[in-house]
Amino acid sequence: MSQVEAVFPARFAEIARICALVQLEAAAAGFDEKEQFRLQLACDEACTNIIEHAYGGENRGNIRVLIRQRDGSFLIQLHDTGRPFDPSNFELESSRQPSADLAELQEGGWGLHFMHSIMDEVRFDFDMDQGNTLTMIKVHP
Amino acid sequence: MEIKSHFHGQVAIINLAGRFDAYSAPQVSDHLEKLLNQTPPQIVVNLEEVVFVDSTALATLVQAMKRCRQLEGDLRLAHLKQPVRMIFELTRLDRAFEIFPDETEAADAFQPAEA
Repeated sequence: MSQVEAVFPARFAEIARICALVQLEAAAAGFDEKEQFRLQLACDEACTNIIEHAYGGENRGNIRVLIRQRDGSFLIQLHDTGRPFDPSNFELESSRQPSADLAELQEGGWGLHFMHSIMDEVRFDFDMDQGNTLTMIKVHP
Repeated sequence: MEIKSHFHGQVAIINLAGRFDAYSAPQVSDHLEKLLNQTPPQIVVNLEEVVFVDSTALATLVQAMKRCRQLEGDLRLAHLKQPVRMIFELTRLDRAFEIFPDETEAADAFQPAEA
């Protein structure tokens, strides 16, 4: 088992550093470059959502990152102390199908779609005292 | 992110390099906004040196492309390398954008019908 834990200020500029950590750990876990990129993308979208939706902007808290590889699974856990995530919106957004029709072409909302497409498990937990915890798991091929 | 632009005839070509994400997207958006003043706006975004794109980057490009088409122009993409191309395929945006192997081909494709 290997495990890395770090805390980053919730700023867009920090997301690249968080993703670099994910890439490093994913490479060490044996994921190929394509999968390393996909894992970075899932993490990037999750961090962006935390800053935009949980904190409602930059510099309003931290993102605590836990990356763990164990028993053939690669876990990314992100914790914030922002507003609670409402799971009832989650299914609606993640089920949106991208359209190639210009008039109906959506201009966003792919973040959750990516997270679900890339990871084998995506789970949101909220605790009134502790805040939001997002757990994403990718099973090692 | 590094942003450079030049003109190939009437076509504005933007070369992006680095990470195109929620942090850098406002810079790109500001740059594109200035080019929308052309009539009609004819823009090629060269993604050859872009190492990462996320949903915020996609939204930036889609918004600009829609604006261009509303103004009888277009925003086209050039030189998408894997795994950036994969993001466009995941969202099916590879069907919405005109995508070319290189920036010159993308710029020249504007000329016959729209010069």
